[in-house]
Amino acid sequence: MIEVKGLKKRFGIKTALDAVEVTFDSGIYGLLGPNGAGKTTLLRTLLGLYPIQSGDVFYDGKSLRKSNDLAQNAGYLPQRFGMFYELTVQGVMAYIGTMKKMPMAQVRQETERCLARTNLSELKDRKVGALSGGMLRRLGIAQTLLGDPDVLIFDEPTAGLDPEERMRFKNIVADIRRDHTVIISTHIVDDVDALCDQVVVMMAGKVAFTGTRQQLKAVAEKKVYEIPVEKQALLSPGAFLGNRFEREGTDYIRILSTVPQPAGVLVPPNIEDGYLCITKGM
Amino acid sequence: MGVRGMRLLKKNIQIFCGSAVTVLELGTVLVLFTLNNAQIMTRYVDTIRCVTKMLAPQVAVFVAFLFMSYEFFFKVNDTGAGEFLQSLPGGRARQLLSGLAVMALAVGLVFLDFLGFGLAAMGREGILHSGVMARHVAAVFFLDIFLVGFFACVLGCLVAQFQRRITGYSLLFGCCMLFTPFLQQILSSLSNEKLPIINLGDLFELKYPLTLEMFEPVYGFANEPERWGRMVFWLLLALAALLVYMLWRHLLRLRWLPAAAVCAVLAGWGLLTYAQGGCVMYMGENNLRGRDEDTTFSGSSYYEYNKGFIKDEPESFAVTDYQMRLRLDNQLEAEVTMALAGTEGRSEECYRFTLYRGFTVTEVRDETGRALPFNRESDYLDIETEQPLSAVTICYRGYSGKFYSNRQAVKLPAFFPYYPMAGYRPLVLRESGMEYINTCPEGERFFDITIQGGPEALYCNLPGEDGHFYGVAEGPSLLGGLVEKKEIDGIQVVYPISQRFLYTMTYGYENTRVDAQLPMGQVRAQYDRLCEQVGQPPQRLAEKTVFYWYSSSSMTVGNETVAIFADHVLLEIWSLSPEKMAAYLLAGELQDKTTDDYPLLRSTFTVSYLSDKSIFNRSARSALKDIRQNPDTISGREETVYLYQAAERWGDQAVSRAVYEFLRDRSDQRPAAEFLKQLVEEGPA
Repeated sequence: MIEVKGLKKRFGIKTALDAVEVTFDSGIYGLLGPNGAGKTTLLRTLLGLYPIQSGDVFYDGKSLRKSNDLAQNAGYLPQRFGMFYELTVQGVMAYIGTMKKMPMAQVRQETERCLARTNLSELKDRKVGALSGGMLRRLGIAQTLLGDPDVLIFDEPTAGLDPEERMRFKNIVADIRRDHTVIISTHIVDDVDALCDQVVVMMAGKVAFTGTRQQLKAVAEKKVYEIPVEKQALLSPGAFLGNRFEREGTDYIRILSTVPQPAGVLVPPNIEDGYLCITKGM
Repeated sequence: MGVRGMRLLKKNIQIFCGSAVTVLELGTVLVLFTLNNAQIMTRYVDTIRCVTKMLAPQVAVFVAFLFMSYEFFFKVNDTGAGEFLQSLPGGRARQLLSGLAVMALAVGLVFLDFLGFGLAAMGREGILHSGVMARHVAAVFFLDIFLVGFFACVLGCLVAQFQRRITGYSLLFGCCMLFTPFLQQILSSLSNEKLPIINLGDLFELKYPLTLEMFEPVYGFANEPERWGRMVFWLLLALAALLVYMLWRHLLRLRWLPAAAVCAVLAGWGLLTYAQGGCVMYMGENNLRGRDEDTTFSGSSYYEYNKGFIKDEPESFAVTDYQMRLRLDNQLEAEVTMALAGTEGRSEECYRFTLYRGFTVTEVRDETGRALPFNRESDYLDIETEQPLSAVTICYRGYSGKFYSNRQAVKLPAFFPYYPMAGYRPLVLRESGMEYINTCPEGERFFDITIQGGPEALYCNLPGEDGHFYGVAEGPSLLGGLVEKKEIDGIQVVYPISQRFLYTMTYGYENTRVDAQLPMGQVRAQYDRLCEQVGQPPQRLAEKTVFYWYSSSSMTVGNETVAIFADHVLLEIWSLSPEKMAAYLLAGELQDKTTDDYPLLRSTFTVSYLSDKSIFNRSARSALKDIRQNPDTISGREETVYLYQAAERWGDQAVSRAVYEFLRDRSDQRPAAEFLKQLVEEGPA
């Protein structure tokens, strides 16, 4: 279990984390928030990339001010993952396995398993410099799984992946949800919807919401309308325009509004609606 | 380094070798230096010259590894691996250390290349057996190739921590400006006595300071604590700066802070060692350095412009016994206790001594241990006391630029006042102020010398070993460094390990290669023959130790190339045929007349006339032919012409004896030219 208590982090005069309180237990957590919300800063602080300035983080009851147990038991995929171009895919796994202080026999075994999970077995002898962006991302996911760590932290894991690879990633995460803590920081709400048991929404360095997907959806209950595009002018003030879509030859627009919108039809909310309600302060 | 460390090292070697840039750079460096070193081996015979020449492009090692290291360590930024490595506990630190280990291996390859050629040069010169020389060559290459290269690697690593290439390349350029001779050359051109800013550049002068033309076979290569201290300072400072920067950027965890502190403290120690200076062999860009010293390679002399400090005022007392405790580190430190004779009832309150001005006197004590006031001026020391002294102890430290004394090498001849001598005695010829003369008072005295530190191979004319020498002599000569001692034909010879083969230049003949380890039996035979020719009983060579100290500069052995004492001979010599050697030995007997044109006559008589008659005669006949056509051309050749004419008229042996006797007779003060003219006209007396 990871407990974050009153965590603060400043970069000069800018406050990146402002008294963040959140707990991550077993399961899959989605970390949502706009750019600059503090998501990456939070993850980096958990992993020890940034020192704890104020507050504390506990991993299995031990403060991270005194130990780096979390970093030692975590697999991490950063937002920008890169590796030395001269190493092969297999070489990268061996390199990282060595860095993680794994015995060579275990490294070999784990390399085989992780490359197979990410469909990279056939590319094991290809150099990193010859990999496409998507392949490199898959390699990043593979190294995260190396050693079967208790905690897995993904920062924008599906960026650059095609739909098939995104689906594969979701299947990987779904397989390991039991007895693992998985934290996925992402902009892609669909991924959160498909995978995450719990959602944490951050805004301006604070935790704006913690709860289940259903609870997030419930935030937007009775606030979501669909209205044909040509009737947009009939909307009452205070409406937030969402996605446009086409249904049976008619263009509709989904809107969020705390004020009743007689021109629209009230529809059940989804996770994105709940997220938008939080970020717009509705 | 454990198993994991080795695995990581292998991976980093893969990264290094997988990159075209780093491989190309290292390959180019290796190929170019190998070719350069190989061509040097074809041009020079002896190890000293070979190694000196190999070190000439040392700056290229620094620049090459600076950029190579930068490219290698910048990969972490280029590939975006930095954040990920940082997330692994100790990941960044281990990658850094492993990367530095790879760069150290790369520098090590270059070092081994140089060392291999250095040892090959030794093998070709036939001195591979010498552990002293091998260790010295290895130490020189380690300092001037490996450490310089590794320092460049650490600098490159530090610069690579900056994310932007433009910043990196600017800093690399700055490093090149600071640590290559460029800075010293600029400061040197701007510097003068009132504004000695060149001294600021000394700390950055990593370049090996000597050129091919300046070498001392006994000393070897500049490998003093000052140079090591400077290198250690910069290397550890760079490491400390690297660690501090990475700690500041949170790229390393706080537990690395003690390591940074240790590096900083050791860097300070290196700086202190450098700052102590001392006796060094220096011919770098700083022309203000050693300005007031007579260095081994200087052509000018302090005494040329300070004739007032050439005094000759004997004392009424004599020193009968020396107890000398010497310590050789970055310079000479000495505590010398002298027993004085002839001081009973002495009324003068001032005891005068001669001690080379490069030694700072720190303390003077009488026989009871009481401190005595003293006054120091140039090479002279006045000790004041109200009571007559039977013994006095003088403590001093310092060095001479010309007669060096440090941990690496020692060249202290008995005729030079590196130990206190009674009275005010001149060190050089008054007329020129340049040539050193035998300052040693006449007579023998007892010496008990204990030496701490200093070079591994250290020899003295006095009996003893392991740093303890004692016995009766006119004076103690110490020669240490790259030297060996050997008995050759019954004569103890101390000679430089390298420079075994020399090229002799004999007028009218091509250079021939001779072995410096002459058969001393031939020398002795020649010497005895010459003594018979000039009508003098021969000195018994077998009872003397012969010290050779080849030098690329002259004037380090008396005012000739030989100094002779009752128990040893000091020789500085280039051409080494037995005839020439014997002639020089004979010339050493004739040191009494040192003024006017006597030295020229002595040299012409012994080295030309006696040693190689056929060449002398040829030269004389050629001179006569020129003079008949143009009488003005006699200038500078009178000795040759008149000697030849006298020998033709009066016979070789008679003339030889007459000239020898003239050169020995102090009472005969006729100018040499006048004597020779009379000899031609009137014959020997």
